[in-house]
Amino acid sequence: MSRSPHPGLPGGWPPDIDLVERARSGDTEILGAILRVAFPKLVAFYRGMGLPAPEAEDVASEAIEGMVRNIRTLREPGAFEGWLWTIARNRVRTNLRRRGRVVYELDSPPGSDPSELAIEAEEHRQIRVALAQLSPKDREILWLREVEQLTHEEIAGRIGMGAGAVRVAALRARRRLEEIYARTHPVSE
Amino acid sequence: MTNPIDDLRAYARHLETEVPGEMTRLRVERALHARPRPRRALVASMAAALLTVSNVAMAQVADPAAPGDALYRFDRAYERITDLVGEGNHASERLDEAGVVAARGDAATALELVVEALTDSNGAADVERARKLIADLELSSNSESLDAAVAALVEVAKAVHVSDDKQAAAQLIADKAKDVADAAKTLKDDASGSGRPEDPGSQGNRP
Repeated sequence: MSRSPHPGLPGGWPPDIDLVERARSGDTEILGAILRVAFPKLVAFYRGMGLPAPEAEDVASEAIEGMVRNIRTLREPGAFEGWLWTIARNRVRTNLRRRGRVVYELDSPPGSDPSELAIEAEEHRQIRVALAQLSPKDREILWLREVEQLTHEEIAGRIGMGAGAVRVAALRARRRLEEIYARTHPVSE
Repeated sequence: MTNPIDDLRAYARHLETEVPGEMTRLRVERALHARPRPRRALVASMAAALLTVSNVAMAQVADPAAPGDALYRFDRAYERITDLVGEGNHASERLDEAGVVAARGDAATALELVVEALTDSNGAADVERARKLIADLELSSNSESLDAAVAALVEVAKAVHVSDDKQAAAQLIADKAKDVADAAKTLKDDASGSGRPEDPGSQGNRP
C-alpha cells in the first residue's frame, strides 16, 4: 500500500497504524485529523459516483458520523481503509434507498446537474462524460482501485466479489474507459 | 489522447479540493460532537410530542414503516430526535424494517437493512434476530437478486465477526451465504447452458 503525503496528517494518507490506534482508543483530536482528510475524499468519491455536490456532502457527513460512532468496532487498525470504504459504501446505499431510489444504482451520471455543467463546462469534462458511460459498478471499482489505490483484496471485501473477479473487473473497467476515450477523442483532435 | 486514468486521478483531486475547508471543519466537528445533548429538556419534550403523534400514526398501520412508505421519512426524523435524547441505537428499527421488506419479497433490501442494523449494534439480541430473519428469508429465484443477497450476506458476516462472542451466529450466517451462493451458481449454470464460460466480473461471491 502506498502512502501519499498530506499536510493535515503526519505520515500521510492512509493514516498510519499508530494514529488509527490512538483514534480508536478515544483520542478525538487524532480522529478529527483523520476525518478532516477523509471527508473531502468521501465527497469526491460520491460525486465521482454521480451524486450532485450537496447530496455528496450530506452523505459524506453521515458516513463520518457513522465512523465516529463505530470507531471502536474496528478490530485491526491496519484494516482502517477497508473499514472506511465499507461504511462509505453502506452509507450511500442507505441514503439512496431512503430517497426511494434504486439501491446501488447511482443513477444521475456525473455532470447531469445543468448548473454544475455550466460552471465546469470544459474542465474535466472528458473524464466526467466518460465516467457517466460506465456502469455504477465499473465506476466504483475503478475509483477504489485507481484513485484510492486499494488492493484487489481490499476492494473484494468492500463490494462482495472475490479478489480474482475484482482483478478482472478492474481491468475490464479500465479498458472500457480507454475505449470511451478513444471513441470520443480521436488522436487527431 | 490523454491517459484516462491520469485524468480520473486529476478529477478526483479536483473534487477533493473543491470541498471548502470550512465545510470540512464544520462537518467533522459535528460528527465528533454528535452525542452531547445540551438542550435535553426541550428535546425530550419534542420527542414526547412526536411519540404521541407516532403512536397515533402507528395505530393506523399494521406494519412499521419501511423504505417506500409514506411514514418512513417521519420515522427517520423521529429517530434523529431520539438520538438527541440518548437512544441512538437503531438496530432494532432496522431489523423491524428488514422484516417488513422481507415479507414483501425484497430479500436484497432486507439484507442491506440487516447490515445497517449490525453496523449500529452487535448486541447478542440483535445478532440473534438478524440470524433468524436471514434464516427465514425466502429468496426469489432470480440470479440478480441472489447475487445481491450473497454480497449483503458477506457484509452481514463481516459485521458480526467484529464481535468476539458471536462466532456461532457468524457461522450460521456464513453457512446461509454459502447456500445462497450455491443456488445462484446453479441458476447461472442453468441459464448459461453448458460449455459457455462464466463471466468472472458478474459472478456472485464465494464467501
